[in-house]
Amino acid sequence: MGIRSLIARLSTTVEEADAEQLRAFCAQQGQVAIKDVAPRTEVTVVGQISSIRTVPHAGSPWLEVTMSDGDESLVVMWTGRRAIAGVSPGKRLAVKGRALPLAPGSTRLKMLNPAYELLGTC
Amino acid sequence: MKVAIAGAGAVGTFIARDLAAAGHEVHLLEREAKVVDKGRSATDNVQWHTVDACEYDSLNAVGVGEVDVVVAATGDDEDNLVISLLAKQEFAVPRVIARVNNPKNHWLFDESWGVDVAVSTPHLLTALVEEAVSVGSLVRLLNLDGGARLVEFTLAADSPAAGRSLADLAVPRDASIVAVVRSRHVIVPRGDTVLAAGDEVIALVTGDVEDQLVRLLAS
Repeated sequence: MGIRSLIARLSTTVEEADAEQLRAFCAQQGQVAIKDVAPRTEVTVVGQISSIRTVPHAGSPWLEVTMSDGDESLVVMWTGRRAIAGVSPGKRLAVKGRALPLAPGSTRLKMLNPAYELLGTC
Repeated sequence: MKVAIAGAGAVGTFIARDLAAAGHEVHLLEREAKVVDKGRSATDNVQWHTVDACEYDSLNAVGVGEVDVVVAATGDDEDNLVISLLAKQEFAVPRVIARVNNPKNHWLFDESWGVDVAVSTPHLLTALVEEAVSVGSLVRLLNLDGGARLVEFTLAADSPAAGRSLADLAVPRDASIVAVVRSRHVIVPRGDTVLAAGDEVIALVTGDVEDQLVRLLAS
């Protein structure tokens, strides 16, 4: 390891290093990056779960998961679920489905009940 | 706009014809070949498809992935729910409108089933009748996306709001008076608009502040 790369490694923050690691992992999976996802086309995206919450929606609980690929984030909603085994913050997963705007006119995207695959923690 | 309508009964066919006449691209989906043959001749500019709208594959073949609006207008509530769910979940259709046949099923037609707007004829009729007969009570006209609803309130002669300006009235947050109808004229409400007995006040409210608004307007 050269001096220069050592300095670079020591001077980046933990967040930046984590994001970089996540970006590398997601790129390695060979799927579409979240920022390139077009609404309403079927895609598979890979990311790491940054947060999870259960939101009451129309009288039933919805599991709302925010996943990020280091650049952009995507909201994934599973209707009628409080929890899904294996889906927890820090886990990496691949989801397949069609994305739609989070709210009318919003550029952020969400997916409803996508097919998913757990990819492990790191 | 590109619209897909499921169910070519009287309701579906009428909507299709109306929308096509307004210049929209309309696809009508019907399971029964006989109905399609009979209806096709009577409608111009409507594209008919003999498919079961409750199947993912047939919706995909028709191109529901690109439509702007899906209307589930079959005479069967279960079918309408399935069509709504498929349209929203599998094809991410921006706007899904579903017809409620039996008012007992109305509660089911919500976001969990992918329904953006549920249209129930009996409920519409109730609202219209209420609107025609009630003075001094709140009538719900329309439920909108996001929990807001359009309500109407006709001021009674002894309403505490009569003779006061809208600025005086201090309408609660999350409520907005959008129009005042006075002797068949629409008045665009401003702070200095003074309400009078007999005015029809049209307001947008969310559920929580409905009661507060009623307290302001009713005696």
